Amino acid sequence: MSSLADVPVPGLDDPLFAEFWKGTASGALRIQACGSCGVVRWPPRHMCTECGSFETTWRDAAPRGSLFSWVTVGRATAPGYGEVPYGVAVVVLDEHPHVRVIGHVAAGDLPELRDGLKMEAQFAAAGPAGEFSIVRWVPAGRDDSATRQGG
Amino acid sequence: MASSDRAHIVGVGHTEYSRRIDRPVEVLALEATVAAARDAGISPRDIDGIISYPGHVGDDVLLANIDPPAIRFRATVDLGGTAAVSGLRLAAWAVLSGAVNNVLLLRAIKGSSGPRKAARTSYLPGRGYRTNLEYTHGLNAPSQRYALLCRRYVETYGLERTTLGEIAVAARAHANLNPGAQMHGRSLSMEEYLAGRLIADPYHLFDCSQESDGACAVIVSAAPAVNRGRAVRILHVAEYGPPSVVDISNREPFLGIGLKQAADEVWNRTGLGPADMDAAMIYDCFTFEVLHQLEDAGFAPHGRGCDLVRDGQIRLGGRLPVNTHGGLLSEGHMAGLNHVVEAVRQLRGEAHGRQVADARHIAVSGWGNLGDGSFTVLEGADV
Repeated sequence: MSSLADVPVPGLDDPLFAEFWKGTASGALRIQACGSCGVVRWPPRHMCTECGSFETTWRDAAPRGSLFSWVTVGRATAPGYGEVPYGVAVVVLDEHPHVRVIGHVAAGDLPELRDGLKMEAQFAAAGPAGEFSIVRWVPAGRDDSATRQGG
Repeated sequence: MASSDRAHIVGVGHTEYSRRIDRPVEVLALEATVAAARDAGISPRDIDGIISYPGHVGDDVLLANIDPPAIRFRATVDLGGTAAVSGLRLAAWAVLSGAVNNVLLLRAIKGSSGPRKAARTSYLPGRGYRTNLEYTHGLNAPSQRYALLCRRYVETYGLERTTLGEIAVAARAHANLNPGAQMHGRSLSMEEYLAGRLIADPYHLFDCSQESDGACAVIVSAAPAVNRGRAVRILHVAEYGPPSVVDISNREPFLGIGLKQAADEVWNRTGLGPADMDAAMIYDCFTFEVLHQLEDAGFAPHGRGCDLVRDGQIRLGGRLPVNTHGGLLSEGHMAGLNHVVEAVRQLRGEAHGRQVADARHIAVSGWGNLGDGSFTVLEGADV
């Protein structure tokens, strides 16, 4: 059921996002932080709102969090996401409660979604040649072999 | 308030709104412009300032076809649905400065028969964020992004589908009193609303605004050239970005929108409050956003907008008639400039068949880019 091959390849060389995409390709959820004062921030940006530094660094965050908001898409509009329904979730990271990360939710997991549900990130290859990996949020504690196929 | 320190809306004009109009969009723009000028009692060639809108017909078409002797002020307000009301402020500043006499605000688009929304150029801010994090995860339409806001509200306060349904059904009932509305003659019951197909849960078909072909124009001047009794005074306009702008998913507070600060400023500066409004034209890209803005503008406490919406209170004849033209949900989608036009018609007593009795003050909101907000109170002439 996957059509993730049709998802447009994002800016893998974009200085703001390259590390994020390197992370997902290696199975890690990598979040930007200020290279000077260390404040973790998301989405990535050029300059620290706390100390004004232009230095940036990246940290692997534990790919776990709780569901904050979500949408069940019933009318397909996004390339690569032609099969509906599917979900898009906004998840608050356990390690960084001020960071919320967007990810895909497979159709089979939609009935479980509720406020505060514990979720874990998985990573699924996307793009015509699997150039990058998207984030997929899955209810925590699931045998991931059951959902890995979901698209 | 002396009229000399307030700008006026002196003319409005528009085409029909429809799923498909075969005349070129440039012709629609010119028709609306000529109608607005005639309404203002001036020649189209007296227009000497133009505020245009990204992706719509621009000032070049007007210059080529109307050939005004002097164009002294041009600007584009690139703030999505916030821009209609924000544009009133920019126009007011321009005419009160003495730099320009008659400023035209224009919307003209083949929003229905032209390219689909997702295929048009996006003017949303945060392009890199959207390309990298939103599109890649299946989020690329306004309904989907706005659904994230609505879902969080549902989980925070609770919200019945029939509350959103009443917003949609009331808009349709108003459109059926408005022969120019795209959905005129097409009724909508609560049962039909509830049966609408899923678009982006919590949003179903009838929670979503129309896509429209058409054009809409408003002319702002320091003082009306003719017919002083028909000019509508712009009491105050405020515009604010969201409380934090990084992106919608990481905004804090998540449901915080610029509209709240904008409305607070307008109430403070005018000495008026929600209870003084005879009607409200609220930017209604989606049903929940009407509730969201009514609460943030102070018409209802947070989480209690449902109490304002029920029992016909937002319908014509109710406590606060909302979007008496049918709004973006049922009149047509002119990016909110049609809300300004409707407020003007109501304040002049020209809203035939849907007139709010003795309308003197009407609030108009603009909302765009997932959190920008603009707000104004317009005042009818002394009677």
